[in-house]
Amino acid sequence: MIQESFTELKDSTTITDCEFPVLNISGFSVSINKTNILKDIDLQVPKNQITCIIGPSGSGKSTLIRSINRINDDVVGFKKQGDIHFQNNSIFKKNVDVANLRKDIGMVFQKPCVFPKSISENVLFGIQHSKKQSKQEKSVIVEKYLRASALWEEVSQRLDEKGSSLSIGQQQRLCIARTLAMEPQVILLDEPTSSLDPLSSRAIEKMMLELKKEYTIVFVTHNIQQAKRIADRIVFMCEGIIIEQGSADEIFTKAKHPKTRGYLVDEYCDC
Amino acid sequence: MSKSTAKIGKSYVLASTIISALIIVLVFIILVANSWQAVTEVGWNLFSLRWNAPSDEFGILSMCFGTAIVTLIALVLAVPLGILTAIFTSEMLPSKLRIPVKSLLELLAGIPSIIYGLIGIAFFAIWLQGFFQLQSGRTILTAGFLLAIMILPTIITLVDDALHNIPKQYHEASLGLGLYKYEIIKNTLLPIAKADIYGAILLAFGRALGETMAVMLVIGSIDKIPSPFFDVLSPGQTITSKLGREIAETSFGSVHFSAMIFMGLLLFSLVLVITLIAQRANKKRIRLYE
Amino acid sequence: MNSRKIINGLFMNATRLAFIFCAVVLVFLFGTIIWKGSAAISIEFLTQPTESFGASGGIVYQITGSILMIITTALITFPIALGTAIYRSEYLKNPRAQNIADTLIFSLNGIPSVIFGIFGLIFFVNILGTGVSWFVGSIILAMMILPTLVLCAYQSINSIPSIYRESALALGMTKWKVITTVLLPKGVNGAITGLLIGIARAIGETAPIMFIATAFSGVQFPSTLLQPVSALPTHILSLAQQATNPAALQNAWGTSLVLVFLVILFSLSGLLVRLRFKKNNI
Repeated sequence: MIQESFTELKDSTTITDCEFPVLNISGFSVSINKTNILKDIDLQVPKNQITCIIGPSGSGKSTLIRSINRINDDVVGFKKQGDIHFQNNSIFKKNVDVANLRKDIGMVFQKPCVFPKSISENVLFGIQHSKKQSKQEKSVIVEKYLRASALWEEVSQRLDEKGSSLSIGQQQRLCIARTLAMEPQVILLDEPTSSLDPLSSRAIEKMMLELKKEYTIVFVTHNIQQAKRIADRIVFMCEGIIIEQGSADEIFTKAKHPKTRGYLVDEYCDC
Repeated sequence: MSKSTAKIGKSYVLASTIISALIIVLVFIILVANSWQAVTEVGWNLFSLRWNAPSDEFGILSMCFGTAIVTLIALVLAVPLGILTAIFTSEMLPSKLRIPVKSLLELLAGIPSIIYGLIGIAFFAIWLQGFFQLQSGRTILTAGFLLAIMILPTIITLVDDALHNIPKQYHEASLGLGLYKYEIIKNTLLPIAKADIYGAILLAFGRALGETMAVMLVIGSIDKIPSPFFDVLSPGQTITSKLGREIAETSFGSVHFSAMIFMGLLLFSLVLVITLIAQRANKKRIRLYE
Repeated sequence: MNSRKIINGLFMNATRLAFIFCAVVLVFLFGTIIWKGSAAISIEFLTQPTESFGASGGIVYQITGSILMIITTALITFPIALGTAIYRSEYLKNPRAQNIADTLIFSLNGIPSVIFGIFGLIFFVNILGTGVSWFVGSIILAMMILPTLVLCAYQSINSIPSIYRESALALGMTKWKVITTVLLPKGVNGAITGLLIGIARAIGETAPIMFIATAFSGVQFPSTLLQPVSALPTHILSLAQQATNPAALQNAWGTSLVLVFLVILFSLSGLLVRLRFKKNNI
């Protein structure tokens, strides 16, 4: 049943090659404390699609995605080369306001991180600091984004309870709602379902397919089946380099690189 | 608008840190600056045995001796006693009782030193006087005794923590080999906790060196090394007791004053070195700030 | 006869004896203070000023003097300690600088209290010419307990996992906003715990204040910053030096009981506060 509805949603999307990329990563290399993590990454992320980055652990997927919203800036010993462009502007320019950048590029982490406040306060946590809103506007926002993250039905009666009282799967959806409330253009997700049970994972995957209509999604996962279910584009990474990238159809049916084929079959990359 | 609050905020935390870090530097500078006069005018005579202010003799050795002896007595009494007690609380006390008992012992550490001094005058001095048939109960031994009780809680708490933090498997492996409890403690636990125990002793040493009020009240305040030097039943003087008693009446800017500051500088430096060694030893274990 | 067993028995008894000795000392100390002290306590004792150098009268101005000083100490040291903890945790990243800062700040902890008093005497009373002033006393006490507060606040802030910082940053908050919304509440709690512990110590200290902040008689509630006060520990000192006078000695015990009571009050508060923060995981 669930399988069918997934294919339904996927087919209704159109993949057009002449979309200009929202994110353009060129010649991007990263070393942390003199250890090379990423080497010469070239990647374009098209608008309103789900780009899945797959690969074995340690391949640098997290480092790549964390560089996009510059959350790696604070890591001791972080050095980069090359550039990342968001909406045709380099994100590393001196006069870039990093805090503003992160309002346009949101991030969901692997482990849900709920602040010690109520559910509604969590949803509003990011946005209450950028705009002043009336009580009315606030409750509108809370409802809107809890609906968007498929959580509203379960929590609408207890918005004042502590966020920590939710199950892990619900907490992660709460984190997604909180990120959506910032109304970003791009959402980065770093293995968001790896701590969750299968049911919650599926719920989030379903959510992604809805969300891509309005947002551009970059989704890191080490779960190939999950990528099969939701990806429009696949980027396969191993040992800090991109082995192959392309549309999901191409990669899953006729991958060119032997390593890619090997990984898709065995989930093992002999890098 | 939030940009300027961030700027103010950052200046505030930076300024706070600078203030905190510079306090000890300032204290050191002041001490050095005010010892200078004594160093230049009295020179090596500072290390003589006679302290007689009216005749410009400022030999600090008697005070240094007093500090050393009193501290030695305190450590000799408190370290074995403290370690034995800590072994009891960590290895033999039922675990439910351990926390309340430890807290009570820590309360001992909270008693202000002036009150220890009062108890010293009112009880210990009188007991010693009676027991040893002395003219006065205010002696080096009294001060050492009092000091021992004051540093006891420190030693007990730290050694107990050290022993208690040893992973259970060492204990169980030794039990499995058929060792008696005493042997387990002596051969397995104490060696592992050795570094922490030394750290505890160092810390207690530092505290004993710097204790003023209790020692000041019971030591008798005589600027002389007893004869014979091991006669702990005679009065004496430590650096801290001398400072406590006389600094307020010494005129600022005189050589007298400077010589006293010099003593203070010596004490300060010694305690600083000890504290740094103890902290460095502590840092080596991951229990950083405990 | 199993000699191993005998030695084991002897050792075990030695530890028991040691423990009993410590317990006896504990009981004796507290018992004496409570028993002798309560003989002196009365409403008059707590509310009347001192007469004849403490041999009679009460200790009301000693109580107010001590409390005034520690409140001021708290106000001085709290913001500085909190700021230092925040800076050390969030801004100071270079390991060498961290080491230097830690050494400079925390070695303050071991310094003998009489040295602080002497420092105050030289720097404030003489060089800056403040004379004997209760406010200077507060400053000196603040210097003394600063490391304790910094440590407690730092531990609280540092224990927050970095994912909270990253999540907040990822929502587009500036670093300072993250500090004020996510880290500061916990830091404040830690600083309060450290404050209570520090005050429990500061209120009983004699040497730092006896040359620079207190006078033994004739003082009442100060009207300016540059006046001396009386304080509980220095009062005990002055009474102890009249130990041959049984009335003075009795009042010394009474003052001691009041002082110990305050120390225990603050220590317990510190403990309770820490437990409560732990429970609520704030």
